[in-house]
Amino acid sequence: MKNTKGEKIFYFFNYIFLALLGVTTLFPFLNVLAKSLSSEKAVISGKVSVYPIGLQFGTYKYVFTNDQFLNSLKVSIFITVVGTLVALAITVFTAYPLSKPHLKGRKTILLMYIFIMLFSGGLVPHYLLMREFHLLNTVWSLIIPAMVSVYNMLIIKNFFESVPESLEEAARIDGTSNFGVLFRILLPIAKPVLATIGLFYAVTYWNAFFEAMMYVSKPELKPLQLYLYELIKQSQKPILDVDAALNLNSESLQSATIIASTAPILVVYPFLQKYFVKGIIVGSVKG
Amino acid sequence: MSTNTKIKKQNNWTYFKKNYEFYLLLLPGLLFIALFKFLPMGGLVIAFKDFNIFDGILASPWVGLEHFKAVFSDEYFFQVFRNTLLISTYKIAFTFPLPIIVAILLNEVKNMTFKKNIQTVIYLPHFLSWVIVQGLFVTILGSTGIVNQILEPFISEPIRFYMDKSLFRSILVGTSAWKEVGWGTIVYLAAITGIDPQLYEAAVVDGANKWKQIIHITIPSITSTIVLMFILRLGYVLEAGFSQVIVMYNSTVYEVADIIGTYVYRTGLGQMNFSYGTAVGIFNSVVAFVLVISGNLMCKKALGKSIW
Amino acid sequence: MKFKKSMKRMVSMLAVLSLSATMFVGCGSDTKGNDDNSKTENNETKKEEKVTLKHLGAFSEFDPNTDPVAEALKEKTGYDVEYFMLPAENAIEKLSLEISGGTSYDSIKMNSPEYNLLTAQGALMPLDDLIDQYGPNIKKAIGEDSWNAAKVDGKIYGIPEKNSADNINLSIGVREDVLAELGLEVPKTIDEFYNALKTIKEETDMIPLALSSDYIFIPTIQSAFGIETNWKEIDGNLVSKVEQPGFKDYVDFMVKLYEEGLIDPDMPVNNKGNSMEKFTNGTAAMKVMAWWDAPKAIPALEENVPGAKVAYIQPLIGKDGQQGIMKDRGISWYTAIPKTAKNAEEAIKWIDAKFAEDTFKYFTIGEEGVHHTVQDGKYFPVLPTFFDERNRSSWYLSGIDETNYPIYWAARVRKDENMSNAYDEFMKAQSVASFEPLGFAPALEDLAKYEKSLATLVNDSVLNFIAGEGNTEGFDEFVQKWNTSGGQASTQAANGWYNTSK
Repeated sequence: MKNTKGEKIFYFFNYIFLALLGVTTLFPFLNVLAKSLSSEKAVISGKVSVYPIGLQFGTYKYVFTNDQFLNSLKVSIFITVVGTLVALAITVFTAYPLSKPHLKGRKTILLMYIFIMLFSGGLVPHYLLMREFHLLNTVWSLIIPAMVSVYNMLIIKNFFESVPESLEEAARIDGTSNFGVLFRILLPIAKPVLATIGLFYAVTYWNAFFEAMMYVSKPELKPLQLYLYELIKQSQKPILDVDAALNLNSESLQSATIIASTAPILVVYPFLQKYFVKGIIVGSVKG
Repeated sequence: MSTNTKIKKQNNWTYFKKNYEFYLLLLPGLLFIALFKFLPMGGLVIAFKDFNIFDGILASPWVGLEHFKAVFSDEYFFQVFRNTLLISTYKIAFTFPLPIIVAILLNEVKNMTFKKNIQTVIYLPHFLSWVIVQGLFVTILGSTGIVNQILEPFISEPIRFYMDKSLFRSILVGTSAWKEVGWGTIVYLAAITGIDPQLYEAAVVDGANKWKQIIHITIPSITSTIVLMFILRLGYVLEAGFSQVIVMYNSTVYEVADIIGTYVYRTGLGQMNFSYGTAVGIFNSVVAFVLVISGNLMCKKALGKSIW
Repeated sequence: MKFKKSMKRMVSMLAVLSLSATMFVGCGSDTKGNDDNSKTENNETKKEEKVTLKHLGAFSEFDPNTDPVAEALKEKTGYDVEYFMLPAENAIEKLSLEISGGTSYDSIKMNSPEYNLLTAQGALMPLDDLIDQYGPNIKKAIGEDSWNAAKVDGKIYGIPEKNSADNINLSIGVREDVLAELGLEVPKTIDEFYNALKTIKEETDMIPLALSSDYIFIPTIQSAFGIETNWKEIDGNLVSKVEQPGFKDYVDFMVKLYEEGLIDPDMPVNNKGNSMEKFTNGTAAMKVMAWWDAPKAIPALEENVPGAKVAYIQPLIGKDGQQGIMKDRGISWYTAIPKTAKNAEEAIKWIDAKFAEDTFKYFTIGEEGVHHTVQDGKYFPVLPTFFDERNRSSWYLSGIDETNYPIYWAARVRKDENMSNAYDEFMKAQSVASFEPLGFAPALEDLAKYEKSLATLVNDSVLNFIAGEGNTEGFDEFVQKWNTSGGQASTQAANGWYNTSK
C-alpha cells in the first residue's frame, strides 16, 4: 500500500479541518439551543456556551402558547402549502409546452421568461402594483411574488427534454392527448424532480419575510419570519428605560423562539437532503 | 391573398387545433408574468415624473431626467454604490474559493459516513432564512455573547460587532460564508466525481503524490465549472445580498453597509421618495442586466455554453 | 375508450382554467382582511353611536390597550379606542408604508421628521375647520406659538404637543464633602471651577472631572463662554454654536483641562455608563449629570462612599460675566389625521374630550388623594399608585394643556427625593436660561439633511482637539469644513425661517 507518510498526514489534517468546519457550522445552533434551555441569569452573565445551564423548559412553553407566535406559524404554513402547490403547478404547466421544440412561438415565450429573470420593474413599481390591485394586507401579496421562478422552470423543462421520445411516442399511438402525456406519463416519472422543486419553493415561502415587511401591516397576517425579525430588532434597541428591561423578551425566550421557528426545517431536512442535492446538479451542470 | 399565405394560415390553424392544450397550459404562467412582471415595468415611468401617491401616476407631472440628475449628484448615492461593489467584491474574494477547496477536500475523504455527515451539516445553513441566521449570530456576537466572553481577558470592553463601522462588512462576509459555503460545494463535488478515475490511476503510476494529483488533475478538470460559476457570480455583483443586509444592518452602520437595494427601500418607500427610488432602481436594473448579458456572452465565448 | 379520453381532456382543461382564475381571485378581493369601504354613508346619520377609533403612536414598551390610563380615558370620554404602535426600529419607514398603503387610522401621533414627511406628501387632513367646529378645549389649551409651529402653508395638519415643562436638564454634580475638606466652596465662576479642579488633582488622587466622549459639550461650562443654545441670535441673524465667538474659547479651555489631567484621561473610550460609575464609586470628584440620573447615582454613591454629599454647580460665570444655559422648548409631537381616516370628526371630538379640564387632570395625574396630593400648589405622587396607574399617560397625550401640564408633570419628578432635589436645584437657573430659537420651527429640510452628519463632524473634531491634537491650531480649518459640509446651508435655512417668523 503506497500510503506515504505525507498522505497520512494529509488525510489526518483533512479530517480535522472538515470536522472543524462541521463544528463551526453547528456551533451557532448549539449555542442558541443551549441558551433557550438555560436560566435567564446564566444567559445574561454569559456563562452559556454549548450546553444549558439551569435547565428549564418554561421558555418553550411560553413560545408555544404565545398567540402571536402561533398565529404567525399558521400564516406561514398556509402560504407555504398553498404557495408551493400553486407555484409548482404553474411552473410545470409552463415547462412542459416549452420543452417541445416544435411549439410555435416557443422562442418568443422563452425569451420573455428569461427577460424577466434579468430585468425587473424594481421595488417601487411592484409595491405600487400590489397597492393598485388592492392586494396589500392580503395573504396573496405573500404568495404571488414567488409564484414563478424561471430558474426552477428551466430545471423542469430540462428534465422533460431529457425524457426519451419513445415513451411519448408509445403513448400517442395509444391515442393519449397532450394533457394525458403530461399527467399520465411525464409527471409520474418526474416525481423526484417535482419533489426537489417543490421543496425549493417551500423553503422560499417558508423563509420569506421581506414581502411581508413591505406589503403587510396587520398583525394577524405576519408570517413567522417577520414576527421573528421584529422580535430580534426590538431586542437590539438599547434599553433606555430601566423599567422596560424588566418585561418582554429575555434572551433565553428569544432563543427559544428562534429554535422553534427553525424546527420544521431542521426536522424535515435530513430526510430530504438527497433531493435537494440532485436538483442542484440537474440544474447547473448542464451540457 | 396568395395561395401560400392561405396554406400557411390553414397550417397555423390546424396546428393550433392539434396543440391547443399546450397553449392552455401556458396561459396561467403567461398571465402571471404579464400582470406581475411586465406590468410593473410600466410603472417605471414614475422615475420621470414627480410622483405623488395620492394623485396617482397619470395626474403626476413629468419632470424628465430630474431624478436621475439628483441620483448622480447625490454624494450619498455614490457611497451606497461603492458599498455595493465593495461588499460584493469582498464576498466573492472570500467566499468564492472556499467551496472549491472544501469540495476537493471532501472528495478525498474515504470514510463515507464521515463524508455524508459532514455534508449534511454544512448544507443546512443554506436553508435557513436570514432572519434566523441573524438571530443566531446576534446572540453570539452580542455584548454578553460567547465571542466577547472568549475575548474578555484581552480587551477592555466588549466589542460591539454590529455597531462597529470597521467590523460590520466583515460580519456580512463572514456570515454569508457560513451560510453558503457548504451548499456551494455541491456543484464542484459533482464536477469532481465526474472526473475519469483512470487519470488518477495513471498519475499514481507516475509517482505523483496526493498534492500533485490535486494540482494537476482535479483542479484542471473542474476549471470549466469554476469559470462558469465565476462568470455567473459576476453577473449578480450588484445584488450584494439584499435580504442579508436588510436584516442585519442598523442606522449606526448605514455608511458602510447601505447597498443599492436597501437604499431604494429606505428612500423609495420609507421616505416616500417614490420617483427617486425608482430612478435608482432603474439604474440598478440596467447595470445588472448589462453585467449578466456580458457575463453570458463571455461564457459563450470561453466555454461555448450559455447560462440558458 | 374515446369517451373516457374526452372526459380526461375536460378535467385537465378545467384544471388549467381554474388555475388561471386564481390569478383573478387575488385582484380586488381580501381573503383574510376586512375592508369595509361601504360604511362611510352610514356614519353621518349615526351621530350618537360611538365608533371605535384607531390610534397609532410611537413605540414604547407596554401594551397601550390594557394600560390603566386607557381605561381612565374610556371612562371619562366614552370613546372606545383601539391603540396601535409603530415598531421600535425603522418606524418612519413603517409609517410611510402604512400611509402609502391607504391606512385607516383615525389619528396618528408622530414626531417632527415624520410630520414633515407626511405633510410634504399631502397625506394629512387639514384640521383648521375641524378644530374650530369641534375642538374648543383644544384651542384653549394650546398657545399660538405652538399652533404656528404646526402650520404648513398656512394650515394646521397636526395638533402640536409642546414639551412637558421648560426644563433645565444638565448640570455638574460635585462632591461637596471633598470640596469642604479642601476648604473650597461650590464653584460659581469659571476661575473658581478651574481652581477647584486643580486643587483636587494636587491634593487628592481622585479624578477631578469624569467625562465620556459622547458628552463633551458641557452646558455648565459652556455658560462661561456665552454658549447656551445651538443657535443664537447675533446682530439679527442666527449663528450656529460652531461659529459663535465663545466656542473656540470653550474648546481651548477643555483642551487645557485635558492636558493638565483635570479631565479623566480615559475620556475618549468612556461611555456614559462607566464614567458615571467612576463618580459613584468615589474615583471621580465631579460628573456631568442630568436630574434623572440622581435616583440611581446618589444612592449608589452613598452606598459606596459613606458620608459623600453631592452639590450641583450652577451655570458658571465667565470672565466677562457671561452666564446662560438652555431650557427646553419645542414641539415634541404632532397628532395628525390621515386623509384616509374614516372617523375624522369623531377623532377630533375624542381629542377635544381629552382636553376637558377634569378629564385632562384625571388621565395625566389621576385623583387627588388617590394618585396624588397637593402641597403649596405643588403636586406630589402617591406611591405606588401613581406609577402603577398613571405612568404611561404621556403616551396618550394628543397635546398638552400648556398652562397646567407643566405643574402636573412635575409630580413625576417628585417621585424620588434625590431627583426632586436635583430638579429643583437645576431649575434655580431659570433666570439666566434661554430658549433654543429654533425650538418652534418646523423641521427645515436642509437642517434635517445635515443635522446628523454635522453633529458627528463637530463631535469628532472637538474630541480630536481635546484628546488627539492637544491644541486648537486646526480650528479655523474645522469651521471651514463645517461650512462646506452643510453648515452654511443649515445657517441659510435657519435664517430663512427665522427672518420670516419675527
